[in-house]
Order: sequence, then structure tokens, then C-alpha cells
Amino acid sequence: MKNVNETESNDQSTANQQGQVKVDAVERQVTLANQGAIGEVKPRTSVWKRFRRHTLALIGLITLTILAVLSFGAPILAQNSPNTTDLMSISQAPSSEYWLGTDATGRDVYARLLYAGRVSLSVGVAVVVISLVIGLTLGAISGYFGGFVDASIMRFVDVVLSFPAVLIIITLISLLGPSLFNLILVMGLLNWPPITRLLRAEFLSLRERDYVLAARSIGASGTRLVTRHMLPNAMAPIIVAATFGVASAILLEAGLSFLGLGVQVPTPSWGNMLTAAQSLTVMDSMPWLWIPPGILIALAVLAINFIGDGLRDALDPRMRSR
Amino acid sequence: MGRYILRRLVISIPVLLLITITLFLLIELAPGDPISAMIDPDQAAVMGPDWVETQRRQLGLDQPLPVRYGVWLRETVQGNLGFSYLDRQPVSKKMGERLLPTLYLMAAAQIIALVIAVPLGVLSAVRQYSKTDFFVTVLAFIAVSIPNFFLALGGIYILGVQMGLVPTAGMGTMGSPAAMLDALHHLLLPASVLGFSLAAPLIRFIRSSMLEVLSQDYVQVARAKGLAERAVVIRHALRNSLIPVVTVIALNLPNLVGGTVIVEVIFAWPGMGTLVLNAVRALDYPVIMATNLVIAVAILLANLLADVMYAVLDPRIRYS
Repeated sequence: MKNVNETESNDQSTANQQGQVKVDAVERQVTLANQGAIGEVKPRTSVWKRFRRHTLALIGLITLTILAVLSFGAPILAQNSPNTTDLMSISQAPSSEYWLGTDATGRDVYARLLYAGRVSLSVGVAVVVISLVIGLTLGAISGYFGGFVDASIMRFVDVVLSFPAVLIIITLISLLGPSLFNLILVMGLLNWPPITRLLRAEFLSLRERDYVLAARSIGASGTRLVTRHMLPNAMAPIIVAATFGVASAILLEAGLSFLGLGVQVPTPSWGNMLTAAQSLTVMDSMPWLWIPPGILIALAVLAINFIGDGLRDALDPRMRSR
Repeated sequence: MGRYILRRLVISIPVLLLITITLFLLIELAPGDPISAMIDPDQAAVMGPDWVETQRRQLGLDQPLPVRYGVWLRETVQGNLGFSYLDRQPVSKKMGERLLPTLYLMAAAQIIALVIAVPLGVLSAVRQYSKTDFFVTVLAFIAVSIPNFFLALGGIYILGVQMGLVPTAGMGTMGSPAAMLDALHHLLLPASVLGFSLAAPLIRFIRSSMLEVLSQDYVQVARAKGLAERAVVIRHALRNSLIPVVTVIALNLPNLVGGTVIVEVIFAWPGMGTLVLNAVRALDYPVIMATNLVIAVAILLANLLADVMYAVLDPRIRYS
């Protein structure tokens, strides 16, 4: 595993030494040519090829797939229901019947862990979908029109970014009342500024490109310019940012649920399964209750971050972490 | 330079106003009003709705929204942040007590993060694409991926409960007189947990900043003069590569605040984080509003300070 990575790395370093500038210039011309009249060179296959060479990203993809299969296959894979309380077996250590033991009300920790995965993973994706919708819309408007519209939207972004996300989310959730829906909504409503900034920056440079000017000169409408010509060419950094966004949304959801402000029991989430460990006695005497969900959060987030890193390298070689 | 600072200050004013408007509207959305929180319901029932209405008028709650915002802003600027619903204490006093512990925690975390990140970042830049670089990169990924509350719980479990090396809650030992060493002992675990997750983005950043500087001509010149590699890296490259780190520290501040809330709650640290969370759980709006405002302003100022420091530290930057 390390070897593969090293060979790839060596290639990179030689490339770096041999005047990255020249390579960049050539590449830019090629990309420009591709974006223009000449057809595309099957970008999807080459992206997958480059992604595959990124060992960590591949490991991440496999790990995430396993976690997703476990979570969404929960009804088949867990023999007990996650919410059935078995008062005859409270706070039991792991056994052949309860693989990861039971909690203080006799619920199967293993079953809860799998079902919690569904919640945690879906929250992460849902939050990013909401922030993509808002972020892309505002970013496109800002970057396409520029001027006063752009300046106002950017000041608004500054305001949203100067609030510490966790604090304002906690405040909003306390106002709206904690629930799964409110959690997703509030997190989605606050996570869009980075996406807006990214897309705006891309649009500002894209709209001056020759092919966009060409499309405009033959009478393409604003909507067509944005959706057909500019958006597709600005997607690479957005996809990367969205992937990292899923990872940080999962982390944030876990933190909020841990504090009791996110997903509410009895619905299990990896975060709220750790709440019990705030008591030192539970932490010390029932480690099966809080260690497995904690490890799964870390694994899922790590896997998604690795995938994001792989995508960054695969989608745009020029974006390689300098 | 003076003009640059002035211009930055002027740009911040509309942002600051927008922040106050947003916060004010946010709290306006909250169910109920100060009356229901401040007046005993039994008393209100006895005195009748007319009396309640008079109270509302006396407090100025019948005024239109912009007027109330104006009054609130005027009072806030003068330092009157209102009174807590919970214990009727002035919010500014409550916050004043909590500010220092939080600052200690955040400063300690930042120092720990730098102590971890600078050597690792430099190491992985100097040995770019080596095994060391690979492991440092993976370590940085792990550090951002472990939830800080899980790290905190793990630290308490292993170092506190199992090994009994560090205290697991509070700022000092109950009953014993406040002592420097005791306070540092209590600070160690929470600050390390925060510092560890804070270090990850710093490592990545210092690495790339260092790589950029190492490819500069003056580094080549230093090498050509026959300086030892260590001197080249530390005296010539590191100093310059740390300049942009100032900005990253400022930009990461909102994340640090978020982490601090969770870590303070876990370690029962008597800071702003626990204050906020208790206020949120009790729907103590004056406290919620004031803490949000103070922290947002602090973040704004920190960004401003970072920009100014950047300009001071790097004379190559000329602002027109």
C-alpha cells in the first residue's frame, strides 16, 4: 500500500522540479481547448483512474461502503430491534445474544449502532444538499452579476462566517426546539458560505473566458450560460468541498447530539449514543456503550475525508495540495 | 499603514451592524417575550391583563421593532447587556466571571496546537513525499476526524479514570487554595484535546507554506552561501513561512469557539461555553444574545487584528 503511494509521489516530485509552471501552462491550454469546440476526452474514466491511484482514498471508499451497507442493511443484519427495551437484561456486557451488550434500559447496543449509522450518515448528506442548493444559487448570482449584488452577498457571507457555527446552531435549535428536521435545517442554513465563496471565485474567472464570451456572442441566454457553460466547469472544487462538508456535518451532528441538542432519543445517532458516557460511572463500568459509536464516527469521518482528498487530486491535478 | 487599518475598520462597521440586526431578529423569533419570563405568572393572574399590559408599556415592549432595536443597540454599546432570566444578575457580570477561564483554555489549546503543528509541518515539508510526510499527513487527517468529545471522553477514561494521572473536571481542586500548579494540572487534558484537533489544519498549512518558501530564491542563496541546512530551514525559511499562519489562526477561531463549548461542558470548565449551554437549556435569552454578540465581535476583531499583523509582519505587502 505504501509502495504504490510512494511511486506516485515520486512522479509528482519530479514533475514539480521540472518547472511546474510550464506544465501548468500547457495543461491550461489543453483544458481550454477541451472546453471549447473540441470534444471532451472522457473525463469520467480519467478521474476514476486518478482516484484509484490514491491509496488512502480507495481505503476510504471501501470503509465508507462497508459502513453504509451495515447501516442501511440494519434490519437484516441486526436480530434485535433498536428500540425494544428488555428489562430482564439491563446494562449487560457483550454476550452471544447482545454482541455489544445492552444499555441502561436493556436496548441492544449493536442494533442501535447500526440504525444510528443510518441517521448520522443521512444527516451529513442532507445538510450538504441544503447548503449546496443555497450556496450554489447565491454563489452563481454573486459571481455572474458581480458589482453591487456581489458586494452585498459577500458582506452577508462575512456576517454568517463571523458567527461561530456551533454557537449559533445551538441558539437556533434552542429557539426552534431540538428535532432531527430542525437539526438538518439549521445546519444546512449555516453551512453554505464556503460553497458560495468557491463558486463565486470560479464564476468570476470563468465569465471572462473566451468560450463563455463566444457563447454569449452567439446569443446564449444568461440561464443557459450559467447552467450549460459555467456551472459544469466550476464543479470540481465544489464536489471536493461538498465531500469535506459531509464529513464535518457528521462531526457537528455528533457533537450536538452528544450535548442533547441534536437527534433526540429514542432515535439513535452515533452522537447521542455517547451521551451516557458523561457520567464517570457509566464511562468506567460500561465501555461497550460509548467506545463503539465513537470509533464509528471517527472511521466514517476519516473515510469521507480521505475520499475528499482523493477527489481533489483526481478531479483537478492543478489543485493538488501544494 | 494607518490608512489601511482605518479602511479595514470602516469596512467592519456595516458587518458589525448586520451582526447585531441578525441577532436581534433571531431573538425576536423566540417564543414568548421578556414579560412572561420576568413576571411571576401567579402575580400576573391576580393583577389581571391590564396590569400586564402596563408593565409591557413601561418596558417599551409595545414600541415597533426598529425602535426597540435602536434602544437595545444604544444600551448594548453603553455596556448594558441586560439581566439574566435565571438569577436576575447583570449579564455583563456573569460573562465577566466566565471570560478568563475560557481565554486560558483557548490560549493553552492554541499553544499546544502550535507546539504540535510547527515541527510536524516543517518536518513533512522538508522531507516532502517521504514516509514521514505520509504519516504526518495521515495523522493530520486522523486529528480532524476524531470528534473532540470522543477524544475528551477517551482521555478522561484512560488518563483520568484508569491511570488517575489528571483531574477530570473543573478548574481547581475543591477546598484547596488556588495554586498555579494545580490549575495547570486541571488545564492539561482539556487544552490538549482542543489543541490536538486544532493542530490538524495548522500542520497542513505550515507544510504548504513552508514548501512555497523553500522554493524561493533567497533560500537557494542561503544554501549557496554554505549555511547548514538546519540554519537555512529554521532561520531563513521557517520565519517567513509562519507569517501567513497568523491568518489561519484567526480564521480558525470560530471552530475553536465551537470546540471549546463542547470541551468545557465535558470537563465542567467554568467558562463561556458552559454559560452558553446552560443559558440555551434554560432559554435564558439575554445571556444567549449577549454571548453570541460578544463572541461574534471578538471574532471580527481577531480577523481585523490578523490582517493588520500580517501587514506589519510582512513588509512586502503594500496596501493601497
